[in-house]
Amino acid sequence: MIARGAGRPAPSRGRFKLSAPARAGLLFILPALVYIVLTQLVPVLYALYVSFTDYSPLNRGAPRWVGLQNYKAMIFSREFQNALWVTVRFSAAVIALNVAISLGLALLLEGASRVLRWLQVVLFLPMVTSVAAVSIVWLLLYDRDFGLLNQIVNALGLPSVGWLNTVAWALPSLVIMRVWRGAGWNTVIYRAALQGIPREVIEAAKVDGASALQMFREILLPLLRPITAYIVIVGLISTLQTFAEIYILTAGGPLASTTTVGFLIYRQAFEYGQLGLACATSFVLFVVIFALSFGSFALARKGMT
Amino acid sequence: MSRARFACNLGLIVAAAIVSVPLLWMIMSSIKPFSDIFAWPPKLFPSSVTLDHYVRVLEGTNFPRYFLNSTIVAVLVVVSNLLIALPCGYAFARLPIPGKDFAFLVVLGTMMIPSHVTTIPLFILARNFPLVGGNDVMGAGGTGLLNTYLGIALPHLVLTFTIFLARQFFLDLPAEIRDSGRIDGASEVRVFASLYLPISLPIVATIAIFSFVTAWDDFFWPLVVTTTDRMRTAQIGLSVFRSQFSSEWGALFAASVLIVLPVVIVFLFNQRLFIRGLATGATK
Amino acid sequence: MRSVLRIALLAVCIGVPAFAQNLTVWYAGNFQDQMDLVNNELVPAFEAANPGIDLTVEFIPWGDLTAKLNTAFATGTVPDVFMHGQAATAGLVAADRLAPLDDYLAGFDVADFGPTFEQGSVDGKHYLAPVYGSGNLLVYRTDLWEEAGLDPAAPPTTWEGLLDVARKLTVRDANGQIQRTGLLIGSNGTAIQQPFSSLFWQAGGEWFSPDGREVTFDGPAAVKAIEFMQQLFDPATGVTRLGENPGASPVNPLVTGQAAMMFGSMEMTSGLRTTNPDAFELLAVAPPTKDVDQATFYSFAGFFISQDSSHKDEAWQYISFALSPEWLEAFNSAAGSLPPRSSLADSAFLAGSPALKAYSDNLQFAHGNPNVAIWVQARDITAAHLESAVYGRETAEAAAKAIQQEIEALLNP
Repeated sequence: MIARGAGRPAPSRGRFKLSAPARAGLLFILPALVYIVLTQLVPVLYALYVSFTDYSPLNRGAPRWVGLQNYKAMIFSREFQNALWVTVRFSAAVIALNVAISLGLALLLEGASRVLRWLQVVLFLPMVTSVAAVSIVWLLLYDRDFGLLNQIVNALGLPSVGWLNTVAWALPSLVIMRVWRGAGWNTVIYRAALQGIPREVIEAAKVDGASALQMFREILLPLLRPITAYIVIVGLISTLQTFAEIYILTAGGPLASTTTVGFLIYRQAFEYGQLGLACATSFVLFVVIFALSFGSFALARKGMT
Repeated sequence: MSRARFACNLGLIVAAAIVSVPLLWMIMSSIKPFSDIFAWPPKLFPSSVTLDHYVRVLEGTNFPRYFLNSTIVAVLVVVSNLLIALPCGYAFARLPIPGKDFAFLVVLGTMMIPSHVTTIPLFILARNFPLVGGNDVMGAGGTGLLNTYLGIALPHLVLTFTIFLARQFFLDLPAEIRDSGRIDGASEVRVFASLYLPISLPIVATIAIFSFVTAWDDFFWPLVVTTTDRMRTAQIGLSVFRSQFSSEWGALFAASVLIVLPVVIVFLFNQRLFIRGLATGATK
Repeated sequence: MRSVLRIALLAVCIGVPAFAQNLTVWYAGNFQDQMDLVNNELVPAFEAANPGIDLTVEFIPWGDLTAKLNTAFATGTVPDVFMHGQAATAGLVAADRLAPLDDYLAGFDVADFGPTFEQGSVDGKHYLAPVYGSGNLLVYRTDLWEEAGLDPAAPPTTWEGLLDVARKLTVRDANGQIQRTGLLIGSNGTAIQQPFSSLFWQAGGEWFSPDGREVTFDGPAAVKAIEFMQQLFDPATGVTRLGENPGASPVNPLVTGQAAMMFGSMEMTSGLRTTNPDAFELLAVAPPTKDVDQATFYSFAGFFISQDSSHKDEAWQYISFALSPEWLEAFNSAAGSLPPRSSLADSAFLAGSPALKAYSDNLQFAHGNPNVAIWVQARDITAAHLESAVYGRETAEAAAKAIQQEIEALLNP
């Protein structure tokens, strides 16, 4: 989906001459490009430079070049390894649940009566609410002693769960909240994809006597593979940088079980003033996101051919 | 009603109910009297309804001003994304520009860098922006974009993700439209403005809502780039009600509902278009 | 900026050779009553008394202060005066960010501030002008004490006594799960590190040598204090649960009765006075316990003058104005915090409440955080190992040793 640009290269009429459409295209792109270079690319390149220095905002004078020291210090630290592992598990769980739940919800919406389809809006609402505000509500819902969730758990005859207080549950609790926020968004996308599947394909399968399960596994899933790759990539980019919910709900604990790389970067940059280290950590995270995105993209390609 | 349909209806209602509990909780807490908020175990529904918390937020603090600031910034961001990101996405999708795939990859790549590390370079840019806030041509002498609406909007003026969405959307529209327009001798700008734009309402809605929410929700950057109470945004204002150990929960929830409200209204009015714009883009 | 120009222009026009100086001040914390006091009373009063100075005041939530200051340092936009905690002094001095106050102190009644003024000194020079403080003391519910057959007027004075009382107050359900913690302590971050600090100092320990160049953490005091923490958290016989995060709790656990006691700052106790007056009436505050020493964590926040300020004299003018007994009393009574002047120890707002007065009475046992540049990291290292020690992942000896080694590595890279 990324590399499939639709435009054909313009027939070149001279080394520096562009066709009229290309010139128009540049005109369209230029303002955005200048802006992105100034506000994104230059800061990113600056951050890349800083990642090789001992820069601290507190210090006067120019940053000192330290080569790969930040990268080495960080990659070999147990704190970073733990954070990376937490981050990967968090992202994997959020994305897997998101894909499963939003596909399920999309199928429900397709199957439900027309009058009920406006409920899609309700499913979508959490996405447009402010993270800070809803995090506080979840704090109340998750309360170990009096929270609504434990009241339900107790009503089912089960002992209370330390949602945010135990190593076993803290990360899953963050995952649940994150899925709650994001599933509605992906439901919309899956629904659109489902509607795009030609009727004939489904009819043909029915004629062949395929069961519902067979139809789902052998027809729907393969057809939905590109869209799933899209959801996975967008999900990776957003979940790997998660910060606000964690800051409010668990502050990275207990026992660093919810300390993600994004959280680590915040602490390095703004609590310890180790901007060089924070930048180095960011670039390692970038490489991880990029590699994983590329992987899902390659997988999707395979699915399309 | 078939059994399958009945099952789908039931499942959908249950799902929607589960999803709305936290939202309902927030709204209910904002109209509970003080004693109900601190009732343990907590009660979802208030014993009586009060608007005290809203009065406190709207009259006891500078919140109305913060709200105005947030609105101005968000509108600025929406307008600039529509003016700049939309045509850019179109060009990436439909126009033959040399090296555009590479450029697009770079654009996408910038999405993957955590914003915390670009804060300081961006701050330097905002402060040394030439010819504003008392700065000279070289960007020295004044405070640049600090404490200005443009400064608060700076990181969101052209969102990478809206370019991405626009590109996906236009990839999905038939290329033949452009071909026919070109045969008629229309310029590229005219092709875009009079052939594509009229059928692009869904993506316009999507970009508008997405960029509104992004600007509205931002917390960290407005905090860094503003230094006066007059320029605070609503998200920063929220922290007035919450300090360690002594939070004004009622006012906090009321303010939270107020903060969420504009987004929900914008969304409800445009949701069908928004969802179509998002969906069209996603199938490519 | 523009207002300066306007006034300058005005001055030139009417021929008055006076220039208004623009002075920027950052307060830490955004408590509404404090902001109202400063904006509506203190600033107008100061500007009326000093017509040549134009004040710009901003309030920054504590949680965002470091981020904002770092940005300001990186970009040369530091305010003339800013507020920070005493423990930040050494780091700021090491980076040459602060102007010493000593030149201004002639004629200023430093003596009234006593040790609180000394907390912010580095190499014999003073940098911190203390504005408000807080201590960490045992806060407890008198009604629950009586219920458990304890005398609220006789709080424990030793560690053993504390553990004993806490055990009597702890309530467990049929499965042995704690339903009410006898002594609530958070298990990560500063929530565990601050109560530990008090115990560590009581046992005679120190993180660093007096000159701050040597790490002196590991030793019998550290091991003893960590072992005591482990006892408090013990799943079978302890008095608090693992994984508590009282700072994030929507309603204070002392109010809900989830906890019978906790170590609480003065902000917490004062906060309850406003948010839960009924529960506040049931609270009492105890003096620190004693091992070899009687000590507890107190911290003061105050004003610093930026080294880069071009209005240092005016900056001091504002500081000395805001630090006058009247304004300090007004400011501290607004938030219910501890005034740093000993002459204010009996101010009306303290005298009216024994619980709050206790914070002032026990100031004599105050012990501040070590004044070293790497304190924030040293603090987090300590907290991380304390957490794994109370979870039983590390022995007290191993935790003490690891803390020592990691802080050493930080001090001498």
